Amino acid sequence: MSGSREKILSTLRKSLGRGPLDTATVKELEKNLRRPKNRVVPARGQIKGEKRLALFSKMAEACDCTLARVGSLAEVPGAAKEFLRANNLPADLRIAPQPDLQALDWPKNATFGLAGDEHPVGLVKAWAGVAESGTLMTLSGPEHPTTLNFLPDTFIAVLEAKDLLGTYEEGWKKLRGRKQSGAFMPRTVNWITGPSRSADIELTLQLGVHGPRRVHIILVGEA
Amino acid sequence: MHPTSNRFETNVAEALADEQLKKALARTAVGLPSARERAVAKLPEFEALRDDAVALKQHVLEHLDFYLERFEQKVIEQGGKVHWCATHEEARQTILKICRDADAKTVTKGKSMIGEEIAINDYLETHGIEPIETDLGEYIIQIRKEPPSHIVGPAIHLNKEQVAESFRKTHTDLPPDRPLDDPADMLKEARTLLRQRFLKADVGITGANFLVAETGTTAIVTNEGNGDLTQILPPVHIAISSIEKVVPTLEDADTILRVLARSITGQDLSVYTTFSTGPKRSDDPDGPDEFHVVLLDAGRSEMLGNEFKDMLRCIRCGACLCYCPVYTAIGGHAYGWVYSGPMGSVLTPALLGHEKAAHLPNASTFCGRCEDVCPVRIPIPKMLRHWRKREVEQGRTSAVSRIALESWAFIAKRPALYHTLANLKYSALGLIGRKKGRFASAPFTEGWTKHRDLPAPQGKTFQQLWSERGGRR
Amino acid sequence: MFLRAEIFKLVAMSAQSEKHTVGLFVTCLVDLFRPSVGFAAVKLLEDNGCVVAVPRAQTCCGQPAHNAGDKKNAKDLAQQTIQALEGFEFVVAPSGSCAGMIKKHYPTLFADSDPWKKRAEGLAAKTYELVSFLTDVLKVKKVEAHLEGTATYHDSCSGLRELGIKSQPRKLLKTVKGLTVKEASQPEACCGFGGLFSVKYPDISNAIVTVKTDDLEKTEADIVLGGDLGCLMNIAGKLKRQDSKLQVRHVAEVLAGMTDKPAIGEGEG
Repeated sequence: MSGSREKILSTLRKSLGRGPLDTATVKELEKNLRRPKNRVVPARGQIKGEKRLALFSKMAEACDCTLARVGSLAEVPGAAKEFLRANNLPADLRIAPQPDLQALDWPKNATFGLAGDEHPVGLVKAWAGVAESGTLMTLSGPEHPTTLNFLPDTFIAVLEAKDLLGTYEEGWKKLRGRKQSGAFMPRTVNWITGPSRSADIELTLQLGVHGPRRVHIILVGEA
Repeated sequence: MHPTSNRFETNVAEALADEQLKKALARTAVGLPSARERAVAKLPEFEALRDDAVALKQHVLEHLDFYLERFEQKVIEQGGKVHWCATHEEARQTILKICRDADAKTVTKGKSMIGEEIAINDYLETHGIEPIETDLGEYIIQIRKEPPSHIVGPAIHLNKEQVAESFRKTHTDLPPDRPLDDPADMLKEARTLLRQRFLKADVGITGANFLVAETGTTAIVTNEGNGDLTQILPPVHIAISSIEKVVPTLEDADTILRVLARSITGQDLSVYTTFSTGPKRSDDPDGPDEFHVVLLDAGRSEMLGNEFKDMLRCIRCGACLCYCPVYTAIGGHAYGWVYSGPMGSVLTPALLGHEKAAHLPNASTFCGRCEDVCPVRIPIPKMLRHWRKREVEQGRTSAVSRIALESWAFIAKRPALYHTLANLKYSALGLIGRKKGRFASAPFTEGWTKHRDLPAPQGKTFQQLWSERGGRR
Repeated sequence: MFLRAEIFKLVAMSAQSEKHTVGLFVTCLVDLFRPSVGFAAVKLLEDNGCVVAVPRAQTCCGQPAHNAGDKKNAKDLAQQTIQALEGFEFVVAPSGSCAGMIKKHYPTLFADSDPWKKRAEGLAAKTYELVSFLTDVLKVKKVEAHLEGTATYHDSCSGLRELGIKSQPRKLLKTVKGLTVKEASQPEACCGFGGLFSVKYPDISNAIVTVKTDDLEKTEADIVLGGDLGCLMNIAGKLKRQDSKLQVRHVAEVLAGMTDKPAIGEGEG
């Protein structure tokens, strides 16, 4: 294996007409890796406040999410219950074990933890949202098992307005800010933009192929 | 899959006779380009993003060794493993070993072109391990034992009746008379079935749309979520990727992502964009225990040093296929391998060897739509011309072609001779064809007149007539 | 020597009369198959302030050789063409693909160190496709032509994608009295000619041209127009094989008001 590594690297260098990079260039490239820069960032997401919320809602609805707005986290269980009732869905919640969520007043049959095939509804608190494309951003961790995003048929994401960002770049910046140094990436960062879909059969669009068929976003609070 | 690119003419004949394929391709040719056009119209920065993506890719390729080494370092730091594979065989053996070490019986697979390229499914099966494609389109072609016909929509060439028939033939546990007329029925069936396979898999193999050097991250984009279930449920996750997919930072990934889905389906982003870094952490409730990245060279490092370097910018969006008049006439299977359409016509000879795919670069009108829509502005017609040039230089053009071109060039380089001969021939032809104005057949013109009439010359050539009028020279 | 002297005389004369000197690059297809396009081009240029000369030492721009990967012959033909035409103020060709070959590809045939490269660049800078020359350089806003009926326009690939020719023919066609222009659903779709492609891969070419002719027929126009004779012969050949009533002409013929000769693929009856 290491034989191949050296072979590949040496062929690369030969093709580029040089040997290994000189120290100065390496230093420069490493510096850029340590201080990543934004590239072309569309103006669309570079807005704030209510405009940002409005854009997020518009984009999320355009990719088949449904949205509800509540004033505070306390209202979330009620909003979730209402959504499930209105859509004839089982009031059977599997919730991410996140302190903000655990503190709320859920029905007795709600459970917390990672998702299995038997859970029809998953409810999480999104780490962020991105208004540019109506995207939810979640991080794997003890408070957010990744399986909750994918196994349940119905996916409910709670997003606080203060966690709504404008662009993907703001998401990376916020993520890097989590840790002082070293590895800030969790095992999985998910960007979720709508329910699972496929057009593989005759280009007919269908929802709920493997991941959730329904994505409901509960927006909490003011901009 | 076993390449059949050297049987191009046979493949094409079969494809053109397939009425069903024709209908399917007509859908692709119109539906996807309209979606792209709508999306592009909504983003004023699209052209700037394309230029940005080109600059990014060019920078990466110039420093590919550095970025691959940094990527590897970061993967290892996070507790993952990197396997460098120079050839397809090495990649197959590496993946097999990882699966064997995990005592794997079944392996779920997210859609991966590299997986198709190295024909990993057949290899695993031969060695007693069952691979299960989970992307709906890939699953359909897997049960039909067909290769993909488009790099993004592998089952795009089928109609729903064909899919239903395959489901009935394969899912024999289910009641044979169950309704499968609606794509929704088939979807439900596939979802239920594959859900069980996801949950029981021992290893999950995904591709990677790109690798991030800054963090040792592999990223995939899917609309179905199958790539995610593939990688988070089994205890082992293998991400396979060719070496040119690395980008420096997460912000660089954003540029690629902003042009990728837009170019093919017209979405701002695919539904699921997933960034995976290492195995699960000690406090993660779910996720894989082992994370492997298999890096495949198989010709890329060589391409970096020749006239096909620009092809390494390709982000596998599949847009060029949908816009290509040749692809939309013959479909993906005719190209005989994993990569079809314009990008496949450049890449297949590079990866398989020119002699094994000699027709592919020649079967193009050079209309240029591919280059027009390529998010990373690859000059595909120029690349195809490079292949043709190699063919001429190595004396591998057909005798007929060579003679025809040489004769034409011989005469064309001698204007006096040209004009004399031309006037003789074309006046004569003009006379013969005067009444009807066209020929339904004529010697040496079978290629043309098989399907078209040949318009007759008007008679004397322009140069002759100009002389007769005493036109200015 | 003699040729050069003629050109200098021409340039001197037109400088006096403030007319542009144009060397017409006839193109092999126009020369051999449809001279009326050449005469239409001459008329359009002369009507709009040009003195037109047609050097004898021109045959083929070399595009077939270039696209076939035959660099040597492409270069030889390029040198011949450059030599024949570089003395004129402008060079105009009634073909997007030939003009494209000269403008975009000739310079690439020569190494930076080769003196021919500068000459190629010189020629490239002053070479134009006919219709775009009229609108973009001569600033022609209308033509004096009359044709009753409906036309639909096929955008040839080279002209469109190499030279950006799209609005110019439509602008001028709008001024043809009695003529309506109706767009096909995919006017920019390739017609399947592709030069040698049409005879090397005739079945694929046929599949592509069939999509094009279906689209053109759907417009219910009387006449198909375009700027490249290769495309037009391909389209006309297919239409005629299908017994279509659709007529095909080069746009120059209509703009010059010279539609007396039979349409492409039609005879005198």
